[in-house]
Amino acid sequence: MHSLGYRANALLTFGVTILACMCAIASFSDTLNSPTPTARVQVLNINRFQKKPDGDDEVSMTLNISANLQSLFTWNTKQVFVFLAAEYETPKNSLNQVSLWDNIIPKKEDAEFWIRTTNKYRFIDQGSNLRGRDFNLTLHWHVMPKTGKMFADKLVMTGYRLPELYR
Amino acid sequence: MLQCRGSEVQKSTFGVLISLYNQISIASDKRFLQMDWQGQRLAETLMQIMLVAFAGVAFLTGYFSASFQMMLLIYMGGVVLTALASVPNWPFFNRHPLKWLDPIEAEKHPKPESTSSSSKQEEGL
Repeated sequence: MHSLGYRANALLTFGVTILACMCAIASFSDTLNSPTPTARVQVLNINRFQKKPDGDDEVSMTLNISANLQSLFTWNTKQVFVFLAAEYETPKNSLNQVSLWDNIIPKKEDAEFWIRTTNKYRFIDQGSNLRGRDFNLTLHWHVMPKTGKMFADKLVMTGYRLPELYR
Repeated sequence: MLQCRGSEVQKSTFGVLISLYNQISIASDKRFLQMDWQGQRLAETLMQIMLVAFAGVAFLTGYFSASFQMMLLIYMGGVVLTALASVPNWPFFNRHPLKWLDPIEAEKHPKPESTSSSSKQEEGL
C-alpha cells in the first residue's frame, strides 16, 4: 500500500474478485427459482402425409402452440431457447426426435405466447414408420443465464396419433 | 555546514529559485505525496470495506429490482468512489508522522570507529 500504483492494483484485483463472487451468487440464486411453465399444443390439421420418392415418410401439419414460460425468467436470465419436438418409437430405434418448431424468447413479456403455425422444419422419418404412429410432442427449453450455468428442461405432451393412410 | 552553504546560495537569484523549488518539493512531499504507515493500513481497510459494502448494496438492489444491469451500475459506481477515496495520497492518510531522532543528537555522539576507518580508507586511496 506504499504507492499509488500499488493501491490502484490492489483495488482492481480485489474489485474483480468481488465481481466474480457476485456473479457466482447470482448464478446460484437461479437455483432458488422453481419454475412452473405450462404448454398446450393442438394438431389442427394434417396438411400433407406422403411417402417421398426415396421411401421416407413426410408429414406437414398445422399446430396451435400456446405456452406460458414466464416463470423461467429470473433477474439473471438473458434469453430462453424453446423448441417443439415430435418424439416417437420405431422398431429399430427406441427414441426418434424431430424438431418441428423453435423460437428464441428474449424478454419475460414475450414468454406468454400463442401461435398457429405449420411445422417450421420438415417432419421426415428415416424410413416408412409414420402410418398410424403414436407420438409425443415435447416442448424443450434451454434457459441461458447472464452468468453461470445453463438450464434445460422439457414438458412432454402425449396422446397424438398420425393417420393410417397417406393423404 | 549544510546551513552555511544554503545561506551562501540564497544570495544569488538563481539560488533563491533553487531553494524555493526545494521548499515546495519538500512541502509537497510531506503533504501530498506521502502516506504514513497507519495511513497505508487505513487506505487498505477503507478500500476493502467500501468494496464489500458496495457489492452487498449492489447485489441486494439488483436482486430485488430484478435488474442485473442495476447491480453492475451500482457496483461500478462503488468501485470508482472507492478508487477516489483510497488510491490518491489524501492528507488524512498522513496524520501520524514518524518521529525521527533529531540529527543533532547523532552529531553529539559520533561513532569513533567508523570515522577512523573512513579516514584510513581516504588515506589509502
